[in-house]
Amino acid sequence: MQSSAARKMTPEGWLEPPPLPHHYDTIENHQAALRFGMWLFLGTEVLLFAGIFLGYFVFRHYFPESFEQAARHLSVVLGTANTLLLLTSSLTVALAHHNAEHGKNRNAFWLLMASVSMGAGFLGIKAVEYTEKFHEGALPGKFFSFSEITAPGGPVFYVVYFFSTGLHALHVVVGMSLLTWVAIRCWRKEFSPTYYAPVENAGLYWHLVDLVWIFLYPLLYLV
Amino acid sequence: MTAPITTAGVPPAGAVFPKKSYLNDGTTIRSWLLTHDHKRIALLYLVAVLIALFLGGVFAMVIRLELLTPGPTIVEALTYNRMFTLHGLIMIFMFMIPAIPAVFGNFFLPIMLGAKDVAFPKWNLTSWYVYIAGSTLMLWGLITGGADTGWTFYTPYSTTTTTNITPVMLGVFIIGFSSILTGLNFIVTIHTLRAPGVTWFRMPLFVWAVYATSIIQVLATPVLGLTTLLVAAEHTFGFGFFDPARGGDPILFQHLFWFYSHPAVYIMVLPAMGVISEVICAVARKNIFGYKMIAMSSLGIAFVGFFAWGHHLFTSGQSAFDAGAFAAISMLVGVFTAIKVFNWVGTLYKGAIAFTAPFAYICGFLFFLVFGGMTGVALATVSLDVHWQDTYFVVAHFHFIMVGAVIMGFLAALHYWFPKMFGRKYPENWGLLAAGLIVLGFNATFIPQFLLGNAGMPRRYYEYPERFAALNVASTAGASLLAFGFIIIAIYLAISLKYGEVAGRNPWGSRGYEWDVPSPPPTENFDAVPVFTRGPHEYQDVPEELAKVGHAI
Amino acid sequence: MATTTPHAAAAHAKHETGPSRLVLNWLVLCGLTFATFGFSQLPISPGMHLAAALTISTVKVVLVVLIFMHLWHGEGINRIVFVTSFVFLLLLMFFVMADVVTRFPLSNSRIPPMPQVDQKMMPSGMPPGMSNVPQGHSGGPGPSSGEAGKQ
Repeated sequence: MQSSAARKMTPEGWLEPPPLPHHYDTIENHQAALRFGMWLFLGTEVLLFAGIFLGYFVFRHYFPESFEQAARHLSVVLGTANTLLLLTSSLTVALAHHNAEHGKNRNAFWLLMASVSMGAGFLGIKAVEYTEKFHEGALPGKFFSFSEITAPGGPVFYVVYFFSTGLHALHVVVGMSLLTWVAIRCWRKEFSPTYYAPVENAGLYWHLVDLVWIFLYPLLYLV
Repeated sequence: MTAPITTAGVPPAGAVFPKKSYLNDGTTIRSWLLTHDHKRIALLYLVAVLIALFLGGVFAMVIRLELLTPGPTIVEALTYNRMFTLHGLIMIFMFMIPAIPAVFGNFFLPIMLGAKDVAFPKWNLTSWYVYIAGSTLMLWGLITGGADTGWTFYTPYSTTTTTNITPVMLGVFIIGFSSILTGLNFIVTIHTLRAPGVTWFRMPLFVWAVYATSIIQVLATPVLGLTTLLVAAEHTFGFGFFDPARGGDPILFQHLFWFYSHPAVYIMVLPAMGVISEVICAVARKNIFGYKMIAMSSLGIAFVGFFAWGHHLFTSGQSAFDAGAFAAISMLVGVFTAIKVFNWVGTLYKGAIAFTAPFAYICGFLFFLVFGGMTGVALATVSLDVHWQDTYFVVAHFHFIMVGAVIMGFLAALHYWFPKMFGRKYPENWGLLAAGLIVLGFNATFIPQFLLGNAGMPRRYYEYPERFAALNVASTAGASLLAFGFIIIAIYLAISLKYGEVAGRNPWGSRGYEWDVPSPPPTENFDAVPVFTRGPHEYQDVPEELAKVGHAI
Repeated sequence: MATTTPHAAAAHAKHETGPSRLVLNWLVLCGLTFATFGFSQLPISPGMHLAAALTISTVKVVLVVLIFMHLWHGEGINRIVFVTSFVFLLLLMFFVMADVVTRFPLSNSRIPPMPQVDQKMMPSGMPPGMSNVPQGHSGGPGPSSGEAGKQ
């Protein structure tokens, strides 16, 4: 993106916003366009996950017993802990957005770093759960060898489980990179009341990651 | 304030080629490959899709030559399977989906809105690179892996075939990203960068069509992305999501696949419809008939078209309830399409028609769309589809829509906008000759296929009984005519690029906004923010001298 | 101080969601998470479990979208985009689930291949996936499956 080196520091303590792209008339219009673009992208993400949720409901309809058995073999404690982690990281991202919008770049930096570490914590817990599944043989498709699920359809549950959580974990990684990137820009005091769209958009992406998990958590772990 | 908007110029005698334009603003290869100018990106796309069209055409000719005789003709059976897979994938993902939106949409959408560029120029360039990367990966996978699944990748064959389809699936996934980026860019551009005076109902109809297309691209493509990932994972790791032997559901694959791939038909055909709406009033020199109906029916097709996908599953084991529901919804697409066709015909009625190459393509388009659409309604009838499923009837039907209508729209756009894009005219007589050859060639290629399909010849078969030979020969002969037409076009357009007569600002005397900027346009499109004081298709107040410019070229 | 500049004042007026409200929202979300967990422990039917979990999750999603993602005060078009994407998600699910629920039983994959059938026992020309259908199939699910069977 634009290098901050050439931009001057304003008296309020943040850098001047980058020059407006030549085809926009006002900075507000540009910010609104960036936000709108992000929301459209989030719409595509919703439909990306639609397919895997659809798979969940289809196979749950075919194999209700094994889906219930398999849910009982997932650790509710770890799942709930992960849910709370993501919710809290969403809060810190929202607070970071609020701070960046008011030019408090340092506060925003620390809040974003807190979110990134919570994301890392989420992945750590996920890794623990995955390891356990690998040891049990609770694996998708032809790798399935988990003796405790007696009802038919166990392999399919674990396809849904690994594919949905795996795709979600990939989004967590991408979200963490985005948050780190805007955190660095916060450290350089780039954001101000007129220019904070990158924080907002990275935050929106992170919230979406949270939204997906809000649905995955009860469907996989609880019911 | 410059005045370009209110003066729709008459081609001045001996128009001069503008000294500065987007074409010569930087001449190095680097200045093209790193450009953020929407017009240059459009040309990058044009080069890429023309290469794709050429490749897809070559493979189509191999298929037709193979089917010239009942037995083996020029290739082996397995090669034949690979050829139709290559043909389908290249034509759909590399040519037809980006063809009109990414080339003409990129070039003209900002100009038609009075904007200097699309909303996110960097992402626009990124989308081209993503498209190239995805296409390369897909082609590499197809050629080295030898995928023989057809472009539909039906499971469980695609997940159990010994050919390596994983790079192909990932290539399709990546091309999907490019399509999403283009659509997203256009939607944001239309919402945020309209110049003063361009209200929603003063947008050119091409913009409306591209808008509807972009909505489909943004909403449907992610589902295809997930499906390709699932198939690749299943093929690589043996997941069994779509494999009945492991408790999976192959029909679920078809649902997910057609949730994208049926709307994808409208990604291809809606922009072509937009082109026709633009060109038809320029050649008829009349106001467009039923502007709002055409604009709204684009959105109607985009919405209804989403929920018609199940008509591909009538014989796949889908439930009778769903089959009935999808059949009924599919018929609705016909209603919206008919609205457009009647409005176009109403526009032509009592118009001062200039019989030019774009008009010839409009005639071809209307014929192919109506014929292809009617057979589509017939195919959406469950009981008839049981008879026609997977026969050449289906092949002929979707080629009438996707090749007939879309290629007509593409060629109409290419001829109509060629003077604007390159500042030079093409030779009209050659244009008409080629258009005639192509329309004739299409009919000769695909009408026999309707008959073959109705007589029971299945699609994708390598050999066929003796009694189908005559019609297959006719079809192959038609395809050769078609190829000949394309070669003529390629030759005269290539010559016109350099030696064509200078076009001037508005050789057609069109009232479209894009004709009010110089040809070829300058890099910034407009010197100042333009103000539009009239609608884009208004011919009632055309100055008298302009009204005479019937034969523009 | 940031809020003294006119820009900041304008920005502030546009997004009224202050830190206290964000924290309150977070508390409610955590509460709802525990509520989901609590409901899952109640002795009610699986269908009710699913309904309760989906309802609470939907409430949580609405809260995140409106408060954390600022759609409450955001531009209307962004609301349309997000709602549209969910409408399309629901329609995709509706049509596919309608198919799955009303499908002719022989054409679905309800029956898994636990005992492998000897290939020689199968009628010739039958694809491998069909081999185990007849043995486990019990009870037609819906009235329309009968109609499908007649076709």
